[in-house]
Amino acid sequence: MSLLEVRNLHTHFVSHDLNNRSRIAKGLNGVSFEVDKGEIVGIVGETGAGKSLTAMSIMGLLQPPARIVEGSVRFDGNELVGLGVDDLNRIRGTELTMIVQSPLTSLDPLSRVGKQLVRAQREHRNMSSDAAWRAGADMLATVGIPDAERRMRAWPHELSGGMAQRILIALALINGPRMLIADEPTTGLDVTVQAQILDLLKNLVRDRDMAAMIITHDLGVVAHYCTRMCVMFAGSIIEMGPVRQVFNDPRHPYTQALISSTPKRIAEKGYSQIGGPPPNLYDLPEGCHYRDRCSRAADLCRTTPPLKNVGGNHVAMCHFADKEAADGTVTSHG
Amino acid sequence: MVEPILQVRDLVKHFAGNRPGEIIHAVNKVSFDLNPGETLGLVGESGSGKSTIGRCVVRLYRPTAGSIRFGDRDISTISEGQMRPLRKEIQIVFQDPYSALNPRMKVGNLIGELVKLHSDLDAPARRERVTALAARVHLNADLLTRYPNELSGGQLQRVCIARALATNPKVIVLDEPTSSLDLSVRAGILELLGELQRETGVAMLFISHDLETVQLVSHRILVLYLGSVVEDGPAEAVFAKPAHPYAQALLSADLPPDPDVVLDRQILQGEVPGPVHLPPGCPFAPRCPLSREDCTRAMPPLASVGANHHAACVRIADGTNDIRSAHASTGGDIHKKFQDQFVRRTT
Repeated sequence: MSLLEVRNLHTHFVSHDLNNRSRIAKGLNGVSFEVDKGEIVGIVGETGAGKSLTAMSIMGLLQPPARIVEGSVRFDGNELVGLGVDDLNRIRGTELTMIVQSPLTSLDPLSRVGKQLVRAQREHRNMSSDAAWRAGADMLATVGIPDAERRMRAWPHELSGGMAQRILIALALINGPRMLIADEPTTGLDVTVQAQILDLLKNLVRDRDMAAMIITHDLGVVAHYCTRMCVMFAGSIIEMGPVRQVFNDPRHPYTQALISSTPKRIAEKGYSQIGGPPPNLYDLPEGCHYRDRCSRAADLCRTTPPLKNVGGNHVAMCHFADKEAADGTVTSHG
Repeated sequence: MVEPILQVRDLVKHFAGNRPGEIIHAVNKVSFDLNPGETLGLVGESGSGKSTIGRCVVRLYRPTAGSIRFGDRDISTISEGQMRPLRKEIQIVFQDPYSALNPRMKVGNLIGELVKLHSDLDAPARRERVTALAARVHLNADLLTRYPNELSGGQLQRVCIARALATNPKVIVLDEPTSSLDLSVRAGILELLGELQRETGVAMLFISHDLETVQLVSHRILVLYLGSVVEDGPAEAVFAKPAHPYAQALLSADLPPDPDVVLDRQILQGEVPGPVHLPPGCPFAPRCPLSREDCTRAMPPLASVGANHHAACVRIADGTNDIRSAHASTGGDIHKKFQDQFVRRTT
């Protein structure tokens, strides 16, 4: 049994138009994956593919009109979907934690860093303020913040982006979680700072035998910090497998296109036009959602493609995943 | 010998800080040439002055000191009125196409606006020109009657590029033109830019923090740190063998989207100091694992490290500028420096 098991998760946004007809945006359409101890799973995909929505659904942080309409999220065997806030709060923030995007707006601007760290601990555990303060300072040192005691007294607005991101990581780790979800942990940070943060995450996962999930649109982060990856498109995981296998032998046309549009592949093989509008979540096409952008779409693609195993734990949701691509390489639109 | 279309010499730009008397040193004595048909990539982290340089070149900012020669004319100090006719020669494309376009104008008018301002074509001829421009940036003609909110980010960026091209400029400044776009859309924009440059011979100043993209599109590279040029040279040379310790660290921190590439990362300690109180001498000295006493005395001059390849580091003279040689021995020292720097920043 894996630490986190997500099964057939469907999250919809249900709203009403002016004529009171309900409109449903299908944000997630049957997402299934698991994360084990000691591994870092990367989730990639374009804007609107459902990466952050997956994380929010797992954490039970959805706000109306978004809600889970089907599926299950099991953490350490316990079902999280449908759990009340109090029960959920016994798990999230302690055993399962999350680092959200935009560090500078995610800290409480009216509390000093130290107070926030103390609060996070005392919310979940019976401990004295002094002990919580000392543990907080230790944690700041662990995440590579020099002069931790002084930083404990800093206000959030005094922090740089990299520093604020470390504080968020410290907050996420302070209660010793078994799993960490990081939503774009380094977006907006400079590359040299990004390297520091990602190394920190990787070492923590290794040293504490944690599980982690990194949501990113940066294939470089996935290539070098994740063990497995999931590629999302229009609310579905369309390819999943060990990072090396997916990069070297992508089987879904979307993954192939995505990898071929990295600057390095362009330099080697030239441009392949793959862009296109993402499908309308209010009105998803029948069958394969990538059909309208896919160069090898056939009549068969009007039916929902199965998740085909193409070797090892590598799966792709394409009718043709187990066949060689037409020209052997990445397909390109004429 | 090609005559550069743009010659920037000792460009300085200061801004007033939040507190009275505080000066933000955004750009400090930056010099470079831009040749026709060439793409010069400006790379550096936030606060390195990339965008400020771009905006000085198009004279959205008035430089504090230094000269910007466009053709045979110094445009660094000329008035807004004198600059206006030159604007059609020097165009800019911004990072965020959503906020760069007037949401209440239709796409066709957004492009036509520039044609109207900078040419004396009559209305039918203008419409023809707009259609031609749209076709040139691969924008579907029926989008011309839409409003910006109906278009995707990639399409909007094509509109911005069409606007920049409308006046047949000699120089286009591209300020992070692909940073807000998804990977797949980004590739299309980069391809378009390359195509247009080959067709028109326009010179491009490509500003980006995305090293992979810069490497793909640039002929030459300028590496900036805290408003100073620390290295310049042909793209291949700089990426293959960066000479300045900062350039080495910056390029080594890049994560190529390929799990088979072995990383040889040189992790820097700390973060870029604020631009209010610049460190004395070399701006990188407080974070540099190789810094020595004379680094803090004066900004080192750009020294030649290869054909047209220069770097501003005192250690180049004796060939001890490889940061890989330094990391093990000076670890504790760096940490202390890092702390000192923090104390300075916050007190």
